[in-house]
Amino acid sequence: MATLDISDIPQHFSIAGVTLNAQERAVMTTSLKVKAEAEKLEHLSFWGKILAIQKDYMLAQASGSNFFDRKFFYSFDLVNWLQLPEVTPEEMAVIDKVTKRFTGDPAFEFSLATEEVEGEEKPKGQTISEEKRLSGVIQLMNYEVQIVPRGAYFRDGNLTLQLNPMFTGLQQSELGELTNYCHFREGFNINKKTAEERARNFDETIDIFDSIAGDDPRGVWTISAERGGSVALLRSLLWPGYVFFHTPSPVKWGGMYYGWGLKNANIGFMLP
Amino acid sequence: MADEQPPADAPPAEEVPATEEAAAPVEAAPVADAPAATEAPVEAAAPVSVSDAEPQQAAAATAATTDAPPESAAVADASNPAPPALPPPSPEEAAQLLPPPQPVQTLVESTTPHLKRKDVYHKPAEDLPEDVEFQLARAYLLQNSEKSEMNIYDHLTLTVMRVLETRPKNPIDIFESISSEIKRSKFRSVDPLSAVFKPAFDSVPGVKVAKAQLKLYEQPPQEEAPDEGLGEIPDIMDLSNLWEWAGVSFGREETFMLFLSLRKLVAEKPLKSVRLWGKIHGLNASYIITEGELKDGAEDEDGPIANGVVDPEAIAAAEAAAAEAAAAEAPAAAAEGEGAPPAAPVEDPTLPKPKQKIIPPLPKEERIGVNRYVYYVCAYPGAPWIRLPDVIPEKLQISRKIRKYFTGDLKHQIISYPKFEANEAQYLRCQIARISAATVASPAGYYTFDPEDEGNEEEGHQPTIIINPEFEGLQNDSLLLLSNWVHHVPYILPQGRVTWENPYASLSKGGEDGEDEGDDEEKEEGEGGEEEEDPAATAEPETGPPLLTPLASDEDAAEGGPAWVTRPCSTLSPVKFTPVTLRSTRWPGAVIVAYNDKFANIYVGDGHGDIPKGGFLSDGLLLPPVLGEVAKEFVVVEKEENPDDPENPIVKEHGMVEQKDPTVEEEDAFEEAKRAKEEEAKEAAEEEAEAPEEEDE
Repeated sequence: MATLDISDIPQHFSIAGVTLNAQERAVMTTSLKVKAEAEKLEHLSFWGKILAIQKDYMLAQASGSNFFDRKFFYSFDLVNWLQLPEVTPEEMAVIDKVTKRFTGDPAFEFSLATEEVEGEEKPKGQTISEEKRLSGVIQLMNYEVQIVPRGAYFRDGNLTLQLNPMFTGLQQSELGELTNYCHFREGFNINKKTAEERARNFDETIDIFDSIAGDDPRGVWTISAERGGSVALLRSLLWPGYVFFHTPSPVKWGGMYYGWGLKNANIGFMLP
Repeated sequence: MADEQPPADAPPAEEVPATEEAAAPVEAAPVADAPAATEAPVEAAAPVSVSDAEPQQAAAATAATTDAPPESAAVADASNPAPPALPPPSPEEAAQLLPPPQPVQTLVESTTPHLKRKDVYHKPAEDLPEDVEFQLARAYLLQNSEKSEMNIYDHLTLTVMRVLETRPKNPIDIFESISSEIKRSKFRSVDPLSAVFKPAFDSVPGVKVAKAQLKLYEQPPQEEAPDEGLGEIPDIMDLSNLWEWAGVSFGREETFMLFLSLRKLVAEKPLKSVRLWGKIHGLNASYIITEGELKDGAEDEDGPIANGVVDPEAIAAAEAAAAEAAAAEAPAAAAEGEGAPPAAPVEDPTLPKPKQKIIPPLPKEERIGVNRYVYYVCAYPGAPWIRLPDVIPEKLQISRKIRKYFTGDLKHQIISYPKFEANEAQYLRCQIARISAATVASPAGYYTFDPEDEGNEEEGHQPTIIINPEFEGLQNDSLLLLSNWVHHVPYILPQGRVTWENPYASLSKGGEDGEDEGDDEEKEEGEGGEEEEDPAATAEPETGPPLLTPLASDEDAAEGGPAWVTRPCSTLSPVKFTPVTLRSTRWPGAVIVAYNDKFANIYVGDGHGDIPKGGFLSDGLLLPPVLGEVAKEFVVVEKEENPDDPENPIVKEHGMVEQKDPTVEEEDAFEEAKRAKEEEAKEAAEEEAEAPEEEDE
């Protein structure tokens, strides 16, 4: 189960208080299938919902054999899915600074309030279309908060990343520990681990991602065991609205975003 | 075998001693300091394995030397880093063997790693040293099985030894039978204690919660008519369908448990009606919040406990504070304490009077205004409901300026700037009051002003509203218009109350409060007397939008968008048959759902609104207020006459100046002068003494 199953949403995300309604679940289950067929996509799965002023965006992502090379789609009516554009690094820098809510109009142009430095030219890319910003925000979130349980993926003999078919879920005692959840992203560098860390409880085949226990600032994730300790629920405080669940029996995990698409820039003030 | 290795990898023969020497100190170090500490416990833990292993390893070594050519034996010995006497290392020890961590290889990281992502594998810059790998592997092999108390290392040694001793033909074919025979022949003692002592049963996590929830399912006793006179509870099973359309859900089972839990709450407390207010997520636990209205005339039993009035510790603290002439504390305690004596500030004439007049705290509204409803929270459905304290106006003012995550522990002290100086329960209550005032709404016409109350034109009087019996509900399409929704929870003034109270009133006349709880004994003792200028007369009353103001006139969100967004929940079915949802942008998480004549308010979120404009930086960034100025040191002010401008004297301010120590000469001179003065005085006294004598004579 590499991707989020829509049927898990009412059962598991309701612990966090959010859900999708019957219409959204019903329509997307079918329309995503058709879209994947039409675009020849291997996996096309629901990513989340970004609330906006006029209309709300439903978002889906597709990935192939390379787990990190993804395409993103959005839809207003749940049926017609449109692909989001690629974003350049310069545009990403602008996107990172926009703090306004999404409007619900993909053609809307956000403009940064330029800090007037006298005599200097206006730097390029001070406006950004909502469509691009949407794409950028999804990629930011994927990089910063998308997580998987430890051991869900492994590196095979050819050092390629694979879904671990032998993964049976975390142990009950491990469910509530942040160290057992990892960022699903490339760039894990084994050389940054100290020799001592490598000597203890370290498996080079499954310890291939950075653990979220080391995220800054400390306390940026909340974790709780729900339903009598059978489900672990993680919420990101950096991107409020990102919720992740993991349950060992049957083995399931998945993350979803449901919120306004705004990063919490004030987290430093808000932690106790 | 070493002699089969390609020449490039194999070390030249003459270099072998050198590597051996180089390797020796590395190995020697842990052996030198380890044995005393580690050998004993290891032996105690597995005495059999150590004594078994030693002779066999020696035997294996001799066998190897006899079979192999002499030079390769030397190499094999050199490459064997584990002498038989070495105790089995634990992973910790193996880690100590490691070289100091290498400086981290700096990677050129792009500034936007989130784009064009590709799986990258970082090869370990260096593998662990071979001897460390060996020790780790050996430590793993030496782990005893939990079932049979054997380990594979010893077992293999025994098996190989048995093969060498008995020299069977084709040993590989009967290897399994030898192995199983050795396993069988191994003496296993039956621990007599295990028959008596059973391992402690670890209780399954979640049992505590389950036990608490089990109480919900107890059948109420049949004789009592339980539903008579009980408060109203909403049909949340029905409402939860509406919430789900709006994207809010607690889960079906949890909702049912909540329903039972609410019924229990109403049975236990004197509540007229309750409403599921919502859920606020905390870092470690969440709060499920219920709003209730006390029955008219019913005694508020939980109130004093929740407000910390009857808590003996709190009383002691309040008394201590009063004794320390913390004048601010005393009236607060007096205003709050129903049973506590009205402790007026004790005027101690010896104490210096503060220059600034202390503004006594604003009187708390009791069972009206912000505190009209009482709130109960619990962590999960079935947990006991805990009453929250009432809103204290000053705390509410501060709660507008701070943003702190809830921890899930009501007793947690909020540490913030400006200082909140209360626990999380009070902060939670303040946030609930603010969210209610901003986001709880009903369709226009559902509530109407009480006609019996209309003639009341008193100043500061809050009009009362009642449910309009003639209201028939609005059509769904008209519910999509914000002008058809009105606030039925009063606006909270900046001072933290619904009705305005002059904060200086008690300063100027020490009189009664305009509208009080009707508790005549509780009068606020004013400082009184000083009538320089009356701040009470000049204070400008604060005003806000009246009750039943439409949502359409709500202030915009901080960044300029509308305060509410409306949606039909289903885009496919006709508006007539789909619920309508309103989402607040100023308080993300606050939702109103409506379907023809039904409507429900619910809040699920972190308990924080968007960043207000005043006093904070724009762009959604929080800017805490600037710290106050540091208090000045004492200065001596000297006024000199100004020859040019006689009306404005020159003011000179001298700070505290450190005095110089006098020199020895200066001290001597001072002593001398002192002595001379004393002598003079003595002479004068003698002369005076003589004078009357003369007179007598």
